[in-house]
Order: sequence, then C-alpha cells, then structure tokens
Amino acid sequence: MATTDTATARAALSDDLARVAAGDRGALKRVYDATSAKLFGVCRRILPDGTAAEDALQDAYIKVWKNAARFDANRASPITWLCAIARNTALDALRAGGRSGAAYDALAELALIEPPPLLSDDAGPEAQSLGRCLDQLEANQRGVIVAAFYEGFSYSELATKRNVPLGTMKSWIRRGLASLKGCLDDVR
Amino acid sequence: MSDDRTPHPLAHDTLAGEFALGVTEGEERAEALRLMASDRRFAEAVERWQVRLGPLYAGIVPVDPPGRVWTGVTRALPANDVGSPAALRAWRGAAVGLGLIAASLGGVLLVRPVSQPSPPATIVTAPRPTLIAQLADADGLPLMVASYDPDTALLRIRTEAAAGKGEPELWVIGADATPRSLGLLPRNAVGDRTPDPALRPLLVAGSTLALTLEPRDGAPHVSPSTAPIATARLTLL
Repeated sequence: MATTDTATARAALSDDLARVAAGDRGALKRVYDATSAKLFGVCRRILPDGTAAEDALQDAYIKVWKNAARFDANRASPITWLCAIARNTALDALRAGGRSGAAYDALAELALIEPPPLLSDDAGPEAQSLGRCLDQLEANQRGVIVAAFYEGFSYSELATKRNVPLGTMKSWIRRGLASLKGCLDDVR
Repeated sequence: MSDDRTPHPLAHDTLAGEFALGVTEGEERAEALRLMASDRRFAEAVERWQVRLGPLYAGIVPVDPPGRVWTGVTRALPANDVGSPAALRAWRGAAVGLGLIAASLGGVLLVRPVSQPSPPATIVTAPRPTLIAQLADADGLPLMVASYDPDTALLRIRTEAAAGKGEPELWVIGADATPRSLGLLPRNAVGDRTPDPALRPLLVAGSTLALTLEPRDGAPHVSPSTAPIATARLTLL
C-alpha cells in the first residue's frame, strides 16, 4: 500500500468517525465496510471457537457508535483505535467465558511467535520504530509479549504454557514492556 | 480528582501496559477496569500503550465477517423511538421514573458496575452525587437527557431528533447567567464527553442546561445565536 493511499484512507476514516460521533449511521456503515474484516481477524485470534468472535465484533461496533466522540486523531490512528476496541471486547468475552479446552490444547506448544515484518519498506515510522525496539528485547520477553498481544493470553496461561513461575513471567513482560517504552519514547 | 488515592506513577503505568497488552487477570484486571472508569490519567496511559503496540495489528490477517453481524449492529443502535406513542406518554407524564432515565442512558452511568471491587480504605472523599437534566421542547417532546458525574467529570448525553436547521449545541448557564458552550451534540445518539475543566464548576445543581440550533461552522461558539429550543436545570439524581 503506497504511503499516500494510507494517509488518504486514514484521513477518510478519521472523518467518518467524526461523523459517527455526530450520529451519522451512514458513516458507521462506511467505517464498518472499511474495517470489519480487520477487526474480525482480531476477534477470531482471541475467540477462535464458535460464534463468540461474531458477537464480540457486533459489540465492538456498537461501542464505536457510542464512543466515537472519544476518538482523537491527534492521539491515535483510527485503525489502532478501532482494533483496540475490538481486542478489548474480545478479551472481556474471553475472560468472562473462559478459554475452551479445545482452543487451549491446540496451543499446547507455545512457540515463540515472531512479530510480522514491521521493517518492510512501506511500513510507517511507528511500525519501523516498534520493529527495531522489539528486536532489542530478549527473545523470551519478545515472544511472550507478542503471544499475549495476538492470542489474548493471561499471565497464568503464559506461565503454564512456558512452564515458568508466575513471578518469572510477570518479570519478563514487565521488563519487556519497560524496555519497549524506553526505546519507543526515546525514538520520539 | 483526589490525588491521595492515585497509585505511584510507575506502578500505575506498569498496570496500564499490562492491561493494554491483555495479560491482567483476576483482581489486577478488576482494579484496571475500575481505574479505566474513574481515573483519566490511567485511561490515557492505557491509550498510550495501545498506540505503542498498535503497529502489531499489521500482523492480523483480515477475515470477512458474516453479514448478520452488521444486521445485529443496526438493530442494536439506539432506536428512533421519539415518535412511539408509549415513549411520548411516558415522557409527558409528570413523574419520570428513575428506571426510564436509566434506560434512556443505557443504564450504565447511573449505577456503578456490580463487578467492581469495593474501593480501598484510603479513599477519604465521599463520592459526589450524579446530576441529571431532561430537556423537552415546547410540546413536551424529549430532546435530551443528560447525566453528569462530578467525580469522573463524565457528561453522558442522549439526544433525540431535534427538528430545525442547524446542529444542536449544548450550553451551561451558571450563577452569572452567561451561557457557555459544552459543544455540538449528535442527534439520536448516546455520547460521553468530559467537559473542559474551566466549565466543570458550573455543572452543579441549579445550573441550567440549554439547547440551541447553531451552524456547524465555528463551533463551539462564544454565545448562542438564537433563543434555546429547550432548557432544564441540573438536579440531583
């Protein structure tokens, strides 16, 4: 995707969110058409079984309708804001419903999930910074942070899967997050 | 917002990062959810973490959802029930019950969620009561219900359709009788906003909320251009 297309798409999405905040249902449909596949992908990673992901997706767009006035284009990109709503909604459902046995067993071997290539040519500056800063983490820290992000693992699930004490897992993640913050905030 | 119950900033930001990442569970997660609702600095810290991690969403493969998801969204949007006879009768009644107000505001703001843990013993300030105002036009048709929580500075507004040209703009009028804008409002929607700190002292029982229809350009305006289409006093819930 060329940078100009991304910037144009981002501006259009921000404009539509402002219209959603003003009660424009047509704008919500445009936001949905532009973003629902991505948000559904987010929900499905966290809720892979049955129709839970669809329910979470529906709840997410209702939250978008109700909270669009809170979106501030100066603080976040619209797609990040939208994806975060979807992920938080899915996480709420996961924590409330519990992870099904089948999904849990299917992840029996928690491989170190490597993040996507964030350093590709057309990745924006934020992506390149995050890619560089993730590379600077210890492999343990990077792996569990990325796994937690995509799969919605809790501390105790991660500790069990990696067969380490809970305190060790907390230390990996807290140190990893602190390093990321130091690295990213320096870049800015 | 009392500072004496704010956790140490470093611990605060660590919890914000863990919550944004999604690893929190049990009591820590409950604490984070409570802070999200009550502590704007915590919510902003969580948002900064979401922005830091945001590029990771590039790794999510899009999947087309089934069509019924959108159908479900449209059905769940706040209904255009202004014209329904039952709703009008309920509004025109002299006594508008707490239940109706709660229902019209989505039942969310007026009671604290059951799942929240009780506040820690170190809180010394009592929670301040919620204020409400219901604005109706000359015919008694409901135009707006507002609820304001002074502890969180959260103003929740539900607007119905407002006939007429222009955008609804909300004003607060305090003891000095000067209308000050709280911003434009969407029609037919429920929305939250946090008023400018300079305006919050005006949001007290006895102050008047007023609705006018204004041009979109130049909002929020310095003063209203027309007489209000509805006014109501803020009262204790």
